[in-house]
Amino acid sequence: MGPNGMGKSTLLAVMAGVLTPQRGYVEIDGKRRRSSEENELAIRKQVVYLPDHPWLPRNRTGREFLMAIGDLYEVEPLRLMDHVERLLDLFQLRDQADSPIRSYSSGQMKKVSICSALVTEAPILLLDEPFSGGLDPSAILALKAVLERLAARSDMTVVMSSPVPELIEDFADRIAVIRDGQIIACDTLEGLRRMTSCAGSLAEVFQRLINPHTAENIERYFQRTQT
Amino acid sequence: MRIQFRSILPPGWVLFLFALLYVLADGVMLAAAVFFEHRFSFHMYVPWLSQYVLLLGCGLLGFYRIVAIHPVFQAEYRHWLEASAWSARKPLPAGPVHLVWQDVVVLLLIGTLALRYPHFPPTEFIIVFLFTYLIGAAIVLALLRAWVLPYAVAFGMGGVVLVPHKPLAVCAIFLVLYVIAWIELRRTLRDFPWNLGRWEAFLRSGSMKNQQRQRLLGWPFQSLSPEKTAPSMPLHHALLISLLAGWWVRVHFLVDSVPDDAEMPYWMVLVIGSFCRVVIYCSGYLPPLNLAGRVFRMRWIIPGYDKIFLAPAIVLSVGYILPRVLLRNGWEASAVYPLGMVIILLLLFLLGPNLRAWRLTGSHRIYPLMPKQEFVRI
Repeated sequence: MGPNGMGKSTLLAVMAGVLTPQRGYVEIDGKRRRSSEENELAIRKQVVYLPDHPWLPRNRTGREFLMAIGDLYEVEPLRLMDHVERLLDLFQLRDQADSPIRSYSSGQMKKVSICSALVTEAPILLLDEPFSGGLDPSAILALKAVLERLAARSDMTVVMSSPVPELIEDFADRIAVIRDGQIIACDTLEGLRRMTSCAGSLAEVFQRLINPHTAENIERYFQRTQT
Repeated sequence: MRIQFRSILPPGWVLFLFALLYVLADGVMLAAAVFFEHRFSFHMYVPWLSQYVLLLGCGLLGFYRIVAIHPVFQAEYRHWLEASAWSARKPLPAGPVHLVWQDVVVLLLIGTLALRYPHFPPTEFIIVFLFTYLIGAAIVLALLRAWVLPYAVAFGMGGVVLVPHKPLAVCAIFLVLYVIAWIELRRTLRDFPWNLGRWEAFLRSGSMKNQQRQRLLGWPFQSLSPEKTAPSMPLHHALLISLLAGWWVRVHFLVDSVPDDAEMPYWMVLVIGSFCRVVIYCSGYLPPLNLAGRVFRMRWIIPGYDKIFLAPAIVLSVGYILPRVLLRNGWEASAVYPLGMVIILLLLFLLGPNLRAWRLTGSHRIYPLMPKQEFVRI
């Protein structure tokens, strides 16, 4: 978590292998990223990255696209077909599933991109602001429920960025807070509460960490407005 | 016998159309001759059109003879063979892929027709047939990753260019190439069923565009694919392609009387090859810091990225210096430039990092290089 422009997407891109870190390295499941061809390919099989602005093939249908992604990650064909159908139902895309992606609304495209990450069945998901991009309330609820269930599994790791604390409060095991490109805190919600001496919600804890003067600023803003 | 002829010849309507075209070509010439008869001697200036029609027909027939009959290009036929009890010991149901006595009969017929033309000996027609047959066989075998014939044809054609007016030598080259084709076709049939890899989708859909479209997965799936997408040049291919290019430069020197023209391919390959290598390595894989970032952070050189410029720099330096040194030491240009071509291509292919290793392990920033007409960005 962190305010806009503080490096959340950059950090995820480094973890995903899109960017090279200036210093240090990324290690996933004991394998160092970009250290050798074998290690990198093994990591790529395990890790799926979904940026906040993915590119989708405009002339393929949603169903074709999802099938192709599942095939890329070597999901067994029958299982893949079943998984695609369930995802289309979950995100209410069944009616558009056989239309080219170019005819989708931006929210529907976002749903397809989320489905593409899920259909891989990869054990590690790196999701950059998955709740942004025009998702409707029912899709937000569905995605939240899915991520909650996935995060509860011992064989899955979901790393996601979000500027909205309420969306992740319920299921995040550990929360890293970024400010000015630095991780200023990384702990469980309880740990962050202890650190900030704040017993409130994650939003309040987040405010304490990022901008402790927000409450005063709000008061000052309204005082000026009234005068 | 009828069935056997039918299995090696194109469909009847194609033969009919060809025969019509052939007769029409002669008819046009005959009408022109009658029309212009009293004004000038037409035959002095315009050759018979039908001889070119016949040459074209021979070329197409040679290509058809292998490409249309070999199972590699026919997905349904191939799958049917896989499901059947067919083995390489039995004849192929759709017709033989190697030449048979029926082909000899067809070629004899063509040779007889060719006796009409004073400027084209009948052997030329047979050579054109064999040439396109061998090209087709080389394509078939290249798809099956059997590289002996493709390389043999590429080297052998250089020999044909060197001795164009010695029919016996040309026939000997074609005979050797045909023997190689026969052996390789037999061998690959014994290895049936084949794993065609990425060509399977192409051969099934019949369109390169469809095949490419099936591989369009967008950002980031295409760039972060868990498959080995970047090609890697094996040593033997690098060596053979380099030798082949050197051989053709040598052939160019031997048949071209203007030495400056003959040097041109060398310099073109040197400059364009180095440039292409840089473009291929940099496309979609940008430096972690741009120029301003390097200046601002005082990091003029980023070893993990800048190593990709080392190979083109070495190639350009060696390619520029080597011919000068050798020519100064009394070597002949017809030996220097072919040798130089072999060396610069070998360096271009083999100097590290190889493309696959670079894309998977280099210190770069992966950039979505996607054509806008194919993708939509959310």
